[in-house]
Amino acid sequence: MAYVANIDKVEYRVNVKEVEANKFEVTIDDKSYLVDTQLTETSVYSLIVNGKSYETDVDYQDGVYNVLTEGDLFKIEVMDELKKKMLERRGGGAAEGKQIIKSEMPGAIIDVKVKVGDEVKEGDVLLILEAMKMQNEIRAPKDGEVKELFVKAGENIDADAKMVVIE
Amino acid sequence: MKEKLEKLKELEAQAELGGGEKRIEKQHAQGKLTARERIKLLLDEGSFVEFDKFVTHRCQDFGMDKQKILGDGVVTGYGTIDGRLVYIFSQDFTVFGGSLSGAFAKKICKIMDLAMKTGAPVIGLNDSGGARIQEGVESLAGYADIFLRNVMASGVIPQISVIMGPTAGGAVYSPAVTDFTIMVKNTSFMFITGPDVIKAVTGEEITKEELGGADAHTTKTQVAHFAAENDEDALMIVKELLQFIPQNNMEDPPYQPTDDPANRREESIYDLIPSDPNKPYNMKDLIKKVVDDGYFFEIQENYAKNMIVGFARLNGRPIGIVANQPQFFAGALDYKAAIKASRFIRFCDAFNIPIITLEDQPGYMPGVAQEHNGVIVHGAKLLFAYAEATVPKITLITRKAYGGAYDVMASKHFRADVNYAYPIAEIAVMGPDGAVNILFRRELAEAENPVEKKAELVQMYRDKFANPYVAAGLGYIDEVIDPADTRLKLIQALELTKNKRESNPPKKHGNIPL
Repeated sequence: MAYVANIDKVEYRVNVKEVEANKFEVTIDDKSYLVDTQLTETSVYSLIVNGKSYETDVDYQDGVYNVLTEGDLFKIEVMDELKKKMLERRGGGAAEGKQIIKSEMPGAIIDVKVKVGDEVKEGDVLLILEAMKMQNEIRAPKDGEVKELFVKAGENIDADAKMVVIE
Repeated sequence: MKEKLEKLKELEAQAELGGGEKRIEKQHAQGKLTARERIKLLLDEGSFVEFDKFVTHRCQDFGMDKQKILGDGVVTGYGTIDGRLVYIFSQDFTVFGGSLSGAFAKKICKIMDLAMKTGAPVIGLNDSGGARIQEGVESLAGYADIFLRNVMASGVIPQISVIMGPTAGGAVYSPAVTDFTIMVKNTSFMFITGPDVIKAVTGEEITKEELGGADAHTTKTQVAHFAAENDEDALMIVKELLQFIPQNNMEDPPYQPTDDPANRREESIYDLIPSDPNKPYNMKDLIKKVVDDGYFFEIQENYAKNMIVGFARLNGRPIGIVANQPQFFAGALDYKAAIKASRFIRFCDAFNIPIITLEDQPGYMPGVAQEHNGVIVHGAKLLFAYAEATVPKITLITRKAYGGAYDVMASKHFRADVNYAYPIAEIAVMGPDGAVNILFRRELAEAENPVEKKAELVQMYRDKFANPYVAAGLGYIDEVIDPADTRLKLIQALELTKNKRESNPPKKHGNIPL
């Protein structure tokens, strides 16, 4: 299994291969280690890394492993490589440049909370689009200025109609 | 011996070059990878074993006897993804434009037969100009042989199609039968007849991308489930998808241990879901708060957004999620949403993946377009799929469950195993407004102040019926739960139903209203 470990914002690529029971070949970036592991008591592992013995106390909390060894505490975030790639791919990046906000569905504009020239913050409610009695709050995708407004309260609009431009 | 070995190596090198350097360069210039590069990216390093490297076509006409390329237009074989066996075929556009010959089809059929016998998924990477016209009916026969195997394998082994180039005419039907289709944006197209034929016959003008590109097929039709940015992205989607599904219909989906505690309380759900039924929220936020590591893999993200389907894990076990999206058309069921969800439910049922239903919907969507597009028959699909499914079915009503849609969405009456509701749930024949208009028509007409009278009656109806306790009193809801404990409750239900056994009466097959 391939993992990505994060310590103090530095990323390490870790590859773990089980050689036999409790024995692993661990590759961190380009270096390879032979690790023999034994859980000695709750959360305490006895490790033999390339012939040298270590005692480590491992505690997992909120996605972070707190590893205590030889008096030093390391906070390590571990993700498997595939999941990391997936999350990065999904991220998509923040909205940039001119944003034309279109309606995803047909409905009635029941309230417009901004006017041309207003400064808005990301997440601010721009207008309310009612469809199937549900009052959908249309929010600003980014900070910016309202450049154009294509709709007014009381109007019915189609799907994919332009509503607001923010820049 | 050594000489013969040299000869073998030479032939292999020749086969691996496909249509030659020039055509490979052309493929790269279009932003596409070659058939072999794609396989290398998808499979675990060094795991690919190729079959039929030396197969060539048998056509003697049109000078084809002088042009033979080892392996013909497709690379086939097997390998592993995350250590799990998969069979793969990858069409090679550099060889006769990836056109399908009899020999080409035989190669694909061979690995499909093996996949069925050994119970492992088949992944098809499609990049083909269509039939090999020089071969005539032999090429057509080849297509039919593949279609038949697609159908026979359906529900036995997972089949995934990736469209990474043109796929036109009959070639589109093999991907259409498979379980999931991924299309690469800008370089892949699927249509029965292309823009030129359409222009000649109907006079309509349209580009290839608009007609049958990844966007068209993931937003307007349900032909494709995913639109990928490029070849690499498309192959990553395949890997991601395979993590949730078993090798075949006899296996359970792969368990993956998690550090996310099963009893994790999530009090932020209190603020997420407004108790005012006319205020929307994003159902995906709820899903992410509840599943392992907040990791939800959505399918058909851009089609019928009022219905959410996708995979996630709970305490390490894969689940299929079917959920209404109050943020889009209030989550109302329409014909598109019904088709989308029913196909997903049937996939989960075929491959032993428990179905978790999160319900918040005001009923079926009204409208002439809905009725005339067959919301009756498509809505019936959803009913059929839910009722027929024998995998564990766990339902949580988060807020609204009105009308016939309450029945359909994995209600107790459809053999759901565990049914939960939040305390703010409203389970009723219809919303308070509509119900009061019908029940108290006369009183409202006679009232001195109809608006006031209506508000009063709506409040009365709401207090009496718009809550989960009527349904819970009848045993249709097993437990009204604290929203903060949703994760724990769903995990408990999943554990409870782990060894569920249920079967339908013996029959050849049901007659789902298609």
